[in-house]
Amino acid sequence: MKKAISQILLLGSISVVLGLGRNAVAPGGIPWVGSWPTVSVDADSVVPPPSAQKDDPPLLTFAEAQAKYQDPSVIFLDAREPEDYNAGHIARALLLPFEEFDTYWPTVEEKIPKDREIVTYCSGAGCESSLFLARHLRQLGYTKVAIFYGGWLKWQNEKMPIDSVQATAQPVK
Amino acid sequence: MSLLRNPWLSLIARLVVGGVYVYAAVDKIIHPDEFAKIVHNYHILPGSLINVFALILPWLELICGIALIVGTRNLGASTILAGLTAVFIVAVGINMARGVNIACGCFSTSSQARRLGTMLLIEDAALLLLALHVLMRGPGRCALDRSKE
Repeated sequence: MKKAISQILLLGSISVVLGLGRNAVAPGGIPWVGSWPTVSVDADSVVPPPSAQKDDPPLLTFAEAQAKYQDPSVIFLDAREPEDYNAGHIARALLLPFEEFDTYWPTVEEKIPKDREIVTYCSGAGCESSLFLARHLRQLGYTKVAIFYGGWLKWQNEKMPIDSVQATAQPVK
Repeated sequence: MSLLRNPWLSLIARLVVGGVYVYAAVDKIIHPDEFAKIVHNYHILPGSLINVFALILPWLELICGIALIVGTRNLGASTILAGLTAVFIVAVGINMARGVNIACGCFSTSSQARRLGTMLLIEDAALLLLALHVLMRGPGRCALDRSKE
C-alpha cells in the first residue's frame, strides 16, 4: 500500500511538473485558470459553444426560442443524427443532420423559403452541430438564421411540445 | 483460471493499456486549449479547475502509459490509469444520461471527432478490466522492475 502511494505521488508529481512546465515554455500555452463560465446544464443562460465567433448567427435563450416557436411560420431545424431525431425532437421541427447535410438537404430545401426565419438546435449545451448548420445555411443565402443553444435538453426540461418518429425516416435518394 | 495468472497475459494487458493511454495523450498535449474546451463541454468540473486539469491530465496519461509499457512503477501506474478510466466512464455516463452529444476528447481534440456513445462505454469498461488485471497480477513478463510487486 505504501509502495502504491509513493509511486502514485511520484508519477503524479512528474506529470504536474511536465504539464505545467511545458505550458510555461511552449508556444500556445494557456493560463492556469481560464475564463470558463460556470453554468449548470439546466441554466437558461446562453453559453456560446467553444468555437463560436463574433459574426456567427445569433444565439437564442430559451425564452426567445419559445417566443419564436409561437409563430408557426418559424422553421425549427434539428441538426442532430437521425436516430436522435427519431427518438424525440421539438414538435414540427425538420430533420437536417449537419453531419449528413447533403443527403438530407433535398428533403427539406423546398420547405424553407430563403426569407423564412430559421432556428437550429442540437442536443444542448456543448453540442456544436446547430452552430455549424446555421453557418452553412447562412452561406446558402438564408439571412434569418438563429441558434437555440439550449437545444433538445432544455426543450425537454421545460416540458415544451415534442414529437417522435416510430419508423425510421429515410432521406429521398 | 491459470490463464489469468499467465505472466504473458499481464504483459499484453500492460502494453495495451499503456499504448492506448500514450496514444490518447499526444494530441491533448499538443492542443491544450482545444482539450480544455472539451473538458468544459463535459460540464462537470468548476471553471477554475478546467485549465489546470487539461494541462496535467494528458501528461499523467503519458507518463503512466510509458511506465506500464516499459514495466516500471507498475502498481502506481496501473492504479492511476484504472482510476482515470473509471472517472471517464462516470463522466461519459453522466453526459449520456443528460442527453448531451459532445465530442469525447478521448484520442483527438477535434470537435468533429468521435461522440459519446454506448460503444465508448464498452471500450472503456474493457480498458478498465485490463488495467485492473495489471494492478492485481503485476507486470508479468519483460518488465523493467524485476521485483514482484
